[in-house]
Amino acid sequence: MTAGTVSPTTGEELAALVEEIWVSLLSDSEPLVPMYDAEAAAPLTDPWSAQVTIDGDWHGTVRVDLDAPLAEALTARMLGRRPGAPLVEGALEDAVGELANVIGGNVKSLLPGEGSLSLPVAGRPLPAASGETVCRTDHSWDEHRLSVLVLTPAEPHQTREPR
Amino acid sequence: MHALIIDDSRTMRSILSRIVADLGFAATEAGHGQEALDLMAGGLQPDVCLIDWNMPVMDGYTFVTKVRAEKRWRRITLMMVTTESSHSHVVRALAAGAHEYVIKPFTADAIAAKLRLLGLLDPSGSALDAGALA
Repeated sequence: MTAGTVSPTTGEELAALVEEIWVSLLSDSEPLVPMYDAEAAAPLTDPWSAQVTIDGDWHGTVRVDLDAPLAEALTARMLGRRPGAPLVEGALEDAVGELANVIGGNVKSLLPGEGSLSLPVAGRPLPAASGETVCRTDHSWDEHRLSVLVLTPAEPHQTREPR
Repeated sequence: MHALIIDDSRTMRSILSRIVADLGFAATEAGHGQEALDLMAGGLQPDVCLIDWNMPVMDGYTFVTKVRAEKRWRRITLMMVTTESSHSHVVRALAAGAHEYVIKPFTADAIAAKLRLLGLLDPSGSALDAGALA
């Protein structure tokens, strides 16, 4: 597979994958609700973000953006804390980064051939992901939003030689 | 029994620690393979290690190869818990000496099922008594 606008997954596959991961990570949580309307395309406000890079036969980025209250709820639940409980410094970056890591790893599993997954980078704000969005899914949870984007580089990427 | 959780994500360490603690294991956490090796060299004697693949400083695969190279650590059960799901990763880890392979995301039941498969749980589903594997 070459780099460019080829997506490793369809929007439907990505949506199903994200919903499954959410339920697995947060077993006692309400499921994510898919958003199909135009509102989903609007940028999130002051989101927490994280991304991982896949490098190999296919090259691209998987980025996760969450509304801040959703990131806080995610972190509290992953850590087994009650909602609103104080979190230690770095906890949000770590939890959001791990969500991106798990989603990115599962996106990578859909790709043919070999590839490596970077360590996650997380922050608020995190610079806008560069490249072309080739796949996207948007979800809501308790009136807050989560977006997952799969991007390929704007510039042609030097694909790795097969081993 | 004692479980050593090795993952660079504090969140994932917390999740896994809670799962194994609920099964009756004592749990210790390390943020990468080298930290885990240092703990073991300092006297920590885990019965099982749950190991992420992608970590800074020392990845999980390197950790497995280093543990398997030491005779004194041969009885330790090694279980990969990682997002790396390709066939080649699984084969490499098992060939290096890992006993089991769990792909993230996982459920608590999946972790318990693997630990049961590895003979680390008693019939009631709780961790075996310390020394049961000696």
